[in-house]
Amino acid sequence: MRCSLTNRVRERGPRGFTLVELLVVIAIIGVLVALLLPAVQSAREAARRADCGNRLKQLGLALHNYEGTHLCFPPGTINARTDNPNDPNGRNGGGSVGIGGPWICFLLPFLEQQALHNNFMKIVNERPEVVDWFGNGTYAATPIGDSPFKAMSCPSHPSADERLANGTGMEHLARGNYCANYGNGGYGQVYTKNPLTGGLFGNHHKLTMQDVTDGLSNTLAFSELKYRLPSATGPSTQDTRGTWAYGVMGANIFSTRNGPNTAVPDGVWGCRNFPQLPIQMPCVQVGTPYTELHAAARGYHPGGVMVCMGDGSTRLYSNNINLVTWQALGSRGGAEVVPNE
Amino acid sequence: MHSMARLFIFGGALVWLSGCGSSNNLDVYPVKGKITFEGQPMKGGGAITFVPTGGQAGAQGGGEIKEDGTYELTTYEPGDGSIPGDFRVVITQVTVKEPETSPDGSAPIPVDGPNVAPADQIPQIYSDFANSPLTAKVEEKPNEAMNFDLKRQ
Repeated sequence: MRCSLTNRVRERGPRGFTLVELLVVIAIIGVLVALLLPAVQSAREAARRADCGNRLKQLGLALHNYEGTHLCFPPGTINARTDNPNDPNGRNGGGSVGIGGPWICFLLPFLEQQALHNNFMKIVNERPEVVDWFGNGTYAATPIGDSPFKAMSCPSHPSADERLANGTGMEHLARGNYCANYGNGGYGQVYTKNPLTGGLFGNHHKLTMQDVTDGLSNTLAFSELKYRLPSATGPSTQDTRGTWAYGVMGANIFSTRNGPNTAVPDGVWGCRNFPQLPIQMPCVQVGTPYTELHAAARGYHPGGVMVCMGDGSTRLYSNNINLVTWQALGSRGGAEVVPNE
Repeated sequence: MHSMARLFIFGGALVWLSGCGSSNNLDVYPVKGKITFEGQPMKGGGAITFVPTGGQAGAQGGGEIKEDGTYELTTYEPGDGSIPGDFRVVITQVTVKEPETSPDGSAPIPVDGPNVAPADQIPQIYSDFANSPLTAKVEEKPNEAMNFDLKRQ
């Protein structure tokens, strides 16, 4: 049978493609292109995420260089004028107590920003309420915090040049994304001084490597935050979240009290609720007590947030991470077993 | 004809494979309810958090408590609910609102929102992430009346 069939084809000579064969080939090519196109789209985001991870890595290296010089990690914020140890940054703009200098300002010399650091130290030496004078006209010649800082900006975040302006002296501060880990409690020292709840940075106190008994590779150092994009619904300029030189919860500090990119509202003094997707920055204003302020890590990467661990490694943690694991990564001395995922 | 059928199966398989990997969200079930304090709707609004206590993996549900005390949980999409299981419930009340500022940022605009009187403020323990006494069990069905009555202590 087979022999006679091939013979018959040979007799007819070479033939062209039938219409059905052509259609099938075109359909297959179409399917392959359809497979490829989404891959190309997400390749762009993958590249931005790699860039984001690299910037976090630079912060991790700066942190270790700081530690190599000063034999401790920088404090999350400093404030010499504190009446209440749990509330050193309280009464925002109220006069008596000012807002401390944030961790990023201590890392500036290790990010090759010595000039910015000198500007910071000038304010520190002249004003106890340090950050109240960031972006202020008095220091127009030695500014800090009023222009965007690339090392603190995640490339996946939609860009916006709008500054924070909340009318309490905190004027014209530029936005940023990276934030220091205060652990799985809140803003106050009652949480950050306790190794069971505190993270790698503390409120007006510093930590050394030997304080991190969970191990640096099991403790978060930095993650990312979102800032508000200009919108017609609500004053985005007044939302303090995502401001690189502002050492308060949600601005360049986060907590692991709630999971990454959670729908649970942040509790931040000076925020404006915006729960709508895809921006998803829900929040309630919690002013008292200041110790309880908390803000979750948030970012625009699909599926999770980028983090830098205490040992300087960077990775992506899923939004669906078990909350217990996330909080274990947040605390520096909780002695939890962290699944080796 | 046989090879044609094989081609179609192959093409169909390709189409089917390309549909994979679009969503890794877990199953969530609607949760709604009302927060009352001593029988009256909690004043001022706030936030509600469901903290998993059963070791479940997955994103936490949370939501905003409205002025009338009602809430609706969200995990992924607005109002979609929560993953099932056992939870500790943490309730935060907004007692003070920050003054809005004028558009040029010069002077604060007086607040028209609520400033909750001390008598209407819920005890701190309900806002304590680790020690809140409230618990909830989310069943694998719509949970329409997950109400909590808070008590003065």
